[in-house]
Amino acid sequence: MSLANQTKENGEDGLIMKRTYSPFISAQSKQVLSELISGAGYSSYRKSMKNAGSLLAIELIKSESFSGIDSCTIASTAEDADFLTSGVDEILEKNLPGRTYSAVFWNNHYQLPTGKSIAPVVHKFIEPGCEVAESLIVTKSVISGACVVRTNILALIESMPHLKKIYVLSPVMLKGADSNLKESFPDNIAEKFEFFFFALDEEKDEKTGEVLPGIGGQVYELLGLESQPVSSSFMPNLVKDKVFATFA
Amino acid sequence: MLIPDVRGQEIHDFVQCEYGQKEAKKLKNIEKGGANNEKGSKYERYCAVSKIVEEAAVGRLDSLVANQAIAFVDDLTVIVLDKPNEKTMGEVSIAKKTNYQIKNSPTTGQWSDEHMLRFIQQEGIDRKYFKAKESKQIMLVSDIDSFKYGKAKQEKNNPNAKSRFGYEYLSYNGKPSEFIALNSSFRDCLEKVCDRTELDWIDGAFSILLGAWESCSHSGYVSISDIIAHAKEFGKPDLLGGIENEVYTVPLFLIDKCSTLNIEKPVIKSGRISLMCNGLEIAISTEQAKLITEPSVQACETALDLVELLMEKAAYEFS
Repeated sequence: MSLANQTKENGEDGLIMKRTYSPFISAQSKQVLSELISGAGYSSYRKSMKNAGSLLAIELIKSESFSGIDSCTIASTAEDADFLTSGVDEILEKNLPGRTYSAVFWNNHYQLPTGKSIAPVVHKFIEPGCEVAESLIVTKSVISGACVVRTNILALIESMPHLKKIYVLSPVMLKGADSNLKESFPDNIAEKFEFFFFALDEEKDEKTGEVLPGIGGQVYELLGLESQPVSSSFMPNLVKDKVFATFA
Repeated sequence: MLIPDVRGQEIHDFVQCEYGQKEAKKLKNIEKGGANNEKGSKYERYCAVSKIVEEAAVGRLDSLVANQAIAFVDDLTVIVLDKPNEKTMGEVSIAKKTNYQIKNSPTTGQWSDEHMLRFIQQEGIDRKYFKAKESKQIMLVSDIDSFKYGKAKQEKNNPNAKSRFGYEYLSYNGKPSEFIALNSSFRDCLEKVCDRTELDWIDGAFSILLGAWESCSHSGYVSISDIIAHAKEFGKPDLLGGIENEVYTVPLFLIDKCSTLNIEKPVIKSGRISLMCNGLEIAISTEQAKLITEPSVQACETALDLVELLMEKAAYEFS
């Protein structure tokens, strides 16, 4: 994929941050990216994130490799499930002949004293039947080190014997995150990856690890969640609907 | 005997006395090479964790591990203690001492006369100095051809040494999840110490064990229990729930409530209470589960109420 439209964004502190747009960028998705870093309240932020998901899904279904896909599993973090992922899910539900299955993970993302990041899964929802899907779509609001994405893919790949493609959808990625992610998998898995994103940023905050300008900061607070869902016991509506409908 | 410091002078004195000046100098040079490579290669660290997990999986938490000990076969040493519960004042008796020469290159993994000499000399140190009841020297390689040809050559040249010298193979291409996938016996042991089989979980456990080994490996001989304690401290949650001192049970009132609400019976997995409901798995540490009172469980009218109660208590571990 050739990247174009290199621009420079002015950060809050006046620093210039490099951003490169992908070929999937449009006026609409550029607008969404601006909304994400605009500092608006969480209600607008949630809508913008959902729009980002819809726009990414539209690009996905237009892609050649996705044509002929019948059903898929969408893997998400708990914080993204009702926002970015819900935007992706809505578009795919309307456009796929088969079903979309969900997998949602409550990761505890932290750094070991050795400096390595890990993101073990504490709670999870894996929708029964998702193992039959041939495509795995992994959504993430922003990808920096790709540690969370890697963990969640590991949590699913062994139970998906027919897996042919892994699509990673994220509005913004740190430059190099895609190759880091692929390199962390064996070749037979790495070759299944395809990335859909709107912007590649080149900088991250060394203290917080946040991509700059990225999606405007820590996604939990921006979405109006207290903290990581694992420590705030946040339960996405997507999971409530799918798990507890039969218990009503 | 007392386990000597890995950098102690006593072994040099022993070698000088037993094998002479030339061999003592060679040992010094090996030691220098080891010190320059103190952190070890990534493959050496993966192999160390593999051996640590092997010991832990069979419950030998008193076994000792060291890298770059003063030795002719010096990349990794594993000491299995004899009657570990009977040691007094730091004195131990060694049931088995295994030393590994680790090679992650096809060219260096081939069996040579120099390797044989070093193995024989090391065996002498283990038997006479350490008074190990059993001593084994292993060439541990990442290349399958080095393994096949090296093993065949070793057996041909030293037909009577099968129980004392050996070749082992641990496949490696630099990726942790592939190291787990390619080495099934390592995976089996990891699953046992984790008490879980999912790749994401055991991959996370591998990461924290590597981190724990990195933190401990400069301290001479380290016990498996100390390394595991470090790894448990690093784990949020603890990913090594297969190694628990206490036996936990799920409170009866929780089991009864799950039955009333048509939720699967909760089980203990990796030292955590795991509740499954239509594909949703909520896991709460047994420590946090103590905060759940019977009245609070009784007050749950729906499956969602119960799941939310458990998630709320589980959250304390991460806040």
